[in-house]
Amino acid sequence: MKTPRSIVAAIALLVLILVISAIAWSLRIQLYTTRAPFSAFLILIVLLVAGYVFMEQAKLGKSFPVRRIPAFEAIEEAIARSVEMGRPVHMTFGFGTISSSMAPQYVAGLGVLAHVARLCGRYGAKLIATLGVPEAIATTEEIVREGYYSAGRPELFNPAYNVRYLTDQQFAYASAVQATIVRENVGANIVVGPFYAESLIFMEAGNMVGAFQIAGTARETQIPFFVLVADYSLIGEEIFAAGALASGDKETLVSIRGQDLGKLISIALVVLGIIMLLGGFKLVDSLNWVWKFG
Amino acid sequence: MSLVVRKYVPQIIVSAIIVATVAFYYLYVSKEVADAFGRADKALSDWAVIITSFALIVGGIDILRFHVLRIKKEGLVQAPFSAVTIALLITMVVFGVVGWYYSYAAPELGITITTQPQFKWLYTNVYAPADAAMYSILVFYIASASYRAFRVRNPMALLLLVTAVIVMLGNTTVGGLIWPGFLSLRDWIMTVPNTAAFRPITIGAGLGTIVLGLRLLTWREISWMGRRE
Amino acid sequence: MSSQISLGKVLESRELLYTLLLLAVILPILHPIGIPIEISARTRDVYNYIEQNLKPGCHVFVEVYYEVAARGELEPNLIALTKHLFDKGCKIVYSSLSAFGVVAFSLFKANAADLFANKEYGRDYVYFGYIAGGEAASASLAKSIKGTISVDNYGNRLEDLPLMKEVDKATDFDLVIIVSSGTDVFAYYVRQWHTPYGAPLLFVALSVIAPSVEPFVGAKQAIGMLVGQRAGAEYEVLVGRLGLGIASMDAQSTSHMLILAFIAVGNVVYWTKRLSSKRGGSR
Repeated sequence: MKTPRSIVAAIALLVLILVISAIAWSLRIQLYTTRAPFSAFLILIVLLVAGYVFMEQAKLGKSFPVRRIPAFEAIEEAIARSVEMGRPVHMTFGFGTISSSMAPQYVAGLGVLAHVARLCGRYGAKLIATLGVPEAIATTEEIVREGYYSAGRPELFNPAYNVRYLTDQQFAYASAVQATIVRENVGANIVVGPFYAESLIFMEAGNMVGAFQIAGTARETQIPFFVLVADYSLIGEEIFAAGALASGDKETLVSIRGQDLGKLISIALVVLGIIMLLGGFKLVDSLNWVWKFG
Repeated sequence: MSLVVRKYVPQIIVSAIIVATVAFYYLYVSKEVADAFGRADKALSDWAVIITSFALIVGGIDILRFHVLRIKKEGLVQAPFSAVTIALLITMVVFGVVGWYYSYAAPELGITITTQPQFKWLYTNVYAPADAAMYSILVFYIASASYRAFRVRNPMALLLLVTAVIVMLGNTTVGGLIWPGFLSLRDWIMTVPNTAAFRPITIGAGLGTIVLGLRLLTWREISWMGRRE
Repeated sequence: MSSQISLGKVLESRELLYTLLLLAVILPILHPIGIPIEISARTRDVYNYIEQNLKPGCHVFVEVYYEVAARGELEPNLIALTKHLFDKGCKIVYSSLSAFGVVAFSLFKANAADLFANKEYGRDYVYFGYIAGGEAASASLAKSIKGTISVDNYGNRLEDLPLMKEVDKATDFDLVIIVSSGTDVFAYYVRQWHTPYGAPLLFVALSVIAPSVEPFVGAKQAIGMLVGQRAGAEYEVLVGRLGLGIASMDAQSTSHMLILAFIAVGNVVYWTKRLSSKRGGSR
């Protein structure tokens, strides 16, 4: 089978960057900054190109196995359970500003929200989406509306009930979410995004009302709290995979393979580093090499 | 609104910004180019702060809408809570306007509202105690969560319990009285196995961010736009 | 049997746990026990670094990036460090990359008024206030402070402050201290101050976020780290200014011991129920 042009173009771009870098080095042109190691830029480009190649291969029909994520599959169970009990479903994806370094986690949370909204539309569940990110208010309304409309249940959508912007201040947000969970007596509490100290407050509030809890964050300090209290947890990068799974698009899902390639590179570097250290050489010195002359 | 404006323009902007910020961070070329990149990077951050500020206005209006409708719908049951929220929202707006006036009329009070007396009073006497109280609730929630979670159901749970006991005793002065070794054992647990467990999660999250960036760059991630078509 | 079950239910109740915990925290603060505290190696290493490396007239940059809610854990550290630095004759530049850091700074200054009593603003210490822009602002400060901001928190022009004639960029500082309740800002300073300019960093972090910042310390990108309230209490003992840190240690000890006791009781109740139901089942 002929390799498609898009894959050839992506690999050609990678080669071009390497060739330009080599030429710049030979001509002693300061092409890259000294504040970051050159290896970081190289690994970034390799992962982007590799992820793109995997997505294009999926478009051609190549299949890649993807591990089951029990927490993602439990979302449907949680919503169905809530409908049986006649209780609403609560979902939140964090507070703050979307222009922070946590933006990818907000986007992952929005992806899961889209999935939750579609399922709520399908099952006829009442969804309460609370948020503390002011820039995402319009997007959240659109996502929830889309969820109900695509399931043919437009009458269930009420923006004042379904979407509630609370505040972007941490503990004011935490107390408002806690109050929502307890007063609305939610049947399912789905919490996916970047969370800080308020994570345990949500979990305990959900526990108090006996809600089915699914939680996920890539903020490693809060993962232990979620694992301890939630019924199902998405740990670290699984929230990004959940966002891809939620799209229902095979090509998007295959992009996770790029993450796996990155992990393989990391493991290989760790093993190589240990072996080199036994021989008295430090691999980290080479990896930390910055583009500098003189 | 046409499909071009609704779908393609946002995605073009996102892709352009992703390429630009990668270039701003990694490329140098020459001192003038690097300085220009630095200024452009700072400008993008400043624009983001400005957009957030406007989004907060939208948020404030949304809160007002929600609580007014709640009072209308649920009457006296919800009214006290919603009335307090609306009153404090308006109070904050008034304080902000007063602060804006002070920044010109009396700059010695502080040119940003956060240093001015009316804001400091509100923050120190109303917000800070409430903030500290909510943070303090965590003490009770951690206790009840620990009480439920540290049940020895299997060997892994036993290992978790033993580790937690060592770290907790290492954090207290009583632990030092029981056995001086708790402190150094706690330090070892936090610096060696704990770090070894956190590093892969940090690396994985970073890789997930890169791949999400790729999906945004190649227009495969559209959930953030709301509509799917 | 029924009295055993009801005793178990009582012991398992949230209300009992919360009431006892409240008493365990409040009583030692009102009536301190005075349990002696051992100084950990990490805190002693930080103290020794400052003792041995900072000379009179040195310059220190302090990032104040914590919310009021985190004051209990971080302010004792900041106060003790400030005392140590002023005792060594250092000049301190304070800054905040977050809006809430401004309030935290004013509360810190009010609580440590004695430390600033003999110090002149503008000559011995300066505070820039809130600088918007996150990591970009941090990078810009590292390159040139005067190129980033023109006035301090109180509207004074930087050119008019004597201390600002001595420092302008990352390489002008002998130590950079980050006191933060969030994880991101540590990475900002590692990337923008330490990696390009080699600025020595000292982290002061909450206990809960310390594990995620630990890799930087292990990789020697920071000279050390003070973690939570215990480190604050230890540092207070080292510098000889006892305050909230040491006062809270008794409460921390009693509350931790209570939680451990409840965990033990919970396991006893759990296993008693499990074994008795097994026995009942086997009959």
